[in-house]
Amino acid sequence: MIKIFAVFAILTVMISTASVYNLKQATEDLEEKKRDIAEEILNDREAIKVLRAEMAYLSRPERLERLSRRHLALNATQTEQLETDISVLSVRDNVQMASLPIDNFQLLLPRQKPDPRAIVRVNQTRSNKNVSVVAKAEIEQKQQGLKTEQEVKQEPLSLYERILAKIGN
Amino acid sequence: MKPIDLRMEGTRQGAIETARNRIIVVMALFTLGFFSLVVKLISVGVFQANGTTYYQTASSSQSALMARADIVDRNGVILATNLKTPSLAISKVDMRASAEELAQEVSEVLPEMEYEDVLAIMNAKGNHRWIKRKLTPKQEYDIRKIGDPGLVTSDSEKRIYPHGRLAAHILGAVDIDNNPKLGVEAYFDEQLSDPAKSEEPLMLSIDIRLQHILNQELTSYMDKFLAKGAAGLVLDVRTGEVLALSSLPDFDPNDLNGPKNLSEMNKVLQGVYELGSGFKTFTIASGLENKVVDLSDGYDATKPVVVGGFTIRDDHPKERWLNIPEIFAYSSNIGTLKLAQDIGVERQKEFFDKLGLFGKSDIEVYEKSGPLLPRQWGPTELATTAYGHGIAVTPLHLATGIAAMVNGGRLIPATLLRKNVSEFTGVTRISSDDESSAHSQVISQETSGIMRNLLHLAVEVGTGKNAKVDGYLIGGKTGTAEKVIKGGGYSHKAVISSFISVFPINDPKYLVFAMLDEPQGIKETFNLRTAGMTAAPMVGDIIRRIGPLMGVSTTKKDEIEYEDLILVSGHER
Repeated sequence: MIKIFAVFAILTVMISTASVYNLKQATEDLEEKKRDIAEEILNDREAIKVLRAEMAYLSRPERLERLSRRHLALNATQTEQLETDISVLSVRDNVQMASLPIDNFQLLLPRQKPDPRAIVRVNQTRSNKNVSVVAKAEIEQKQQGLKTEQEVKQEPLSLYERILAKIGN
Repeated sequence: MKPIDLRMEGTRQGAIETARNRIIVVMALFTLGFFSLVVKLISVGVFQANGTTYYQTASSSQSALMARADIVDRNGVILATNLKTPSLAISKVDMRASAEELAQEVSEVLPEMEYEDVLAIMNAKGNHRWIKRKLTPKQEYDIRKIGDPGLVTSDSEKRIYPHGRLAAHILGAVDIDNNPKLGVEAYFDEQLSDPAKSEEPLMLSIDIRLQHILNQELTSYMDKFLAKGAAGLVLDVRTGEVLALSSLPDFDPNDLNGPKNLSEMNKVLQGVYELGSGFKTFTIASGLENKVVDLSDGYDATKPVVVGGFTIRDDHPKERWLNIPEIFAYSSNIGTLKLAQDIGVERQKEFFDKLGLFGKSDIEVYEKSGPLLPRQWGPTELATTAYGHGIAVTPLHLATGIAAMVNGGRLIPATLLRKNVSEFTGVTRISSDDESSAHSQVISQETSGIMRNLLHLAVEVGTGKNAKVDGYLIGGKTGTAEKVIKGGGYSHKAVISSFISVFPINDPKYLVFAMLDEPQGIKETFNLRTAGMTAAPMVGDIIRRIGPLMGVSTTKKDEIEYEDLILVSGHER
């Protein structure tokens, strides 16, 4: 009875000791692996930081400009190279811009003060009445053109409002 | 368990009894031993944690390593970062080679240190002595190559500013112990030095490309006009973000011990100047907003006016009656002050107050100044402040105010932090109701539209002609102010030339301000140092470069005749 108990107890203790030791060893190994990886991550992060700083240093605008002037046949973009409107580039109808101007801005430009003497001079030099009539007709046409232009300008306004309404909803 | 029932007689029985007792004692001992083993096993296997406490985990040592978060620009380009830089010390106990030998080798690696100095450190008393702090990687490698155990390197950190002096005034700097000085480094110190946030970079509104362009143009114009200093600012009028801010002369944050260090002032935020004609924008906006005048009204600017004993003249005299657009475009002091007299002190003060000209700005640095205001507001002060004299503000005050004039009348405080991420994706939001209500409306939309037109006129036909850029519609205002001499009065030789502009004026996006401190007239400008000759072309050059970079589309000029605006140029007739 005692024998069986003792053997059983000894066996249990031995097996459990062995398994605990194993487990312990395995964890320790994993732990060490983890530590190594953590250290590696640290080193890599540090290296990334250094590289990013170096990248920022090497891509200083001033340096890039210098290198570009030396090695590339490129120049800064000029304002003439920019298009005024997206619709110029696209053949499709009804092209809309993603960004809209904040409002429909009507630009005012100064007009030369009318000089009465100038008109008199024109009348003096142009004795032919027909010519002046033609000129008058031209002026009228111009004014009409201006009006139609203003009407045309109404259209983008309505388009603008339509988009505005869309965004508002 | 049943006790063993064994009984014998006599001395034999006694001996067996003793043996049995001994066996029981031994068994008890064994049981105790096993029991303790079992207890230990259980405690080891179950309760003891797996040694994590012995090692630093990645995250904890991370925070110990990177004590200060990065600062990046609006596109994520690094402006300031911390790098591990070892420091070199000598530990005499571990030293193998002789001090002379070692000193020779060390001084070869470190060119800035003399052999005698190194030797003196090595021979000094005490075991542990610093030789040099913050080595470069190359130097560290070479020191390690010497291979003497007496040379000890220890990790420390150094704040690196890869762009050097480019954004120095905004960033500020840190000293050798990483204590912040100036700039956002000081303002956001709590956030930057928080270990929990060391992985989150601080994103500024600055665009380093614009900063470079601004810096370059300021430098070249400063040299051209032999100016003492220059300053510039690029502001997004829709969001209040500062895209570039430069003040010359500046300093190198990487080298605080250099000859030009922190003593250089940030002219945009700290410098307080009488900025001159830029203020006429405010006066005229105030007049229009308070319905004192409308565009067709005007004032007689034939003769200089005497106010409070001072004779006030026009810098570009037309000597006739001028309407409001003309007063603005030709920068007439007389016309503006007469308008201010009609507006009155109370309304003028109220308007300036609404524009935030009476207090410090909210921008995120500590080194900023409040305005210098007149002590009392009499008729003289009313007249002079109308055209920007007798009241000194920082350029940022002026810029924020002008931005409010053109963006539909909303006063948006300037910020150094990036906001509105959707703006970056190229989709511009039309100012919605909730957004506009967050900022105080200082002038109405209509007045803002008129002010944009007036600013455009000033560039198109007025004093700012030199700022014209092909393809863009620009609005702007020159400002030439004579510097105040110590002890009172104005200097006729020292001026501050500034130009404040907004482009494109048909859809205001960016505000560009530039000023020159004491420019000298040169042959090219007919020895003139007025803003129209010095600062205006500088701003034109800046816009010419940043416009295409920021993808601002050009505008065809269609000229609409407008009956109320009649300007007659004095030169053409």
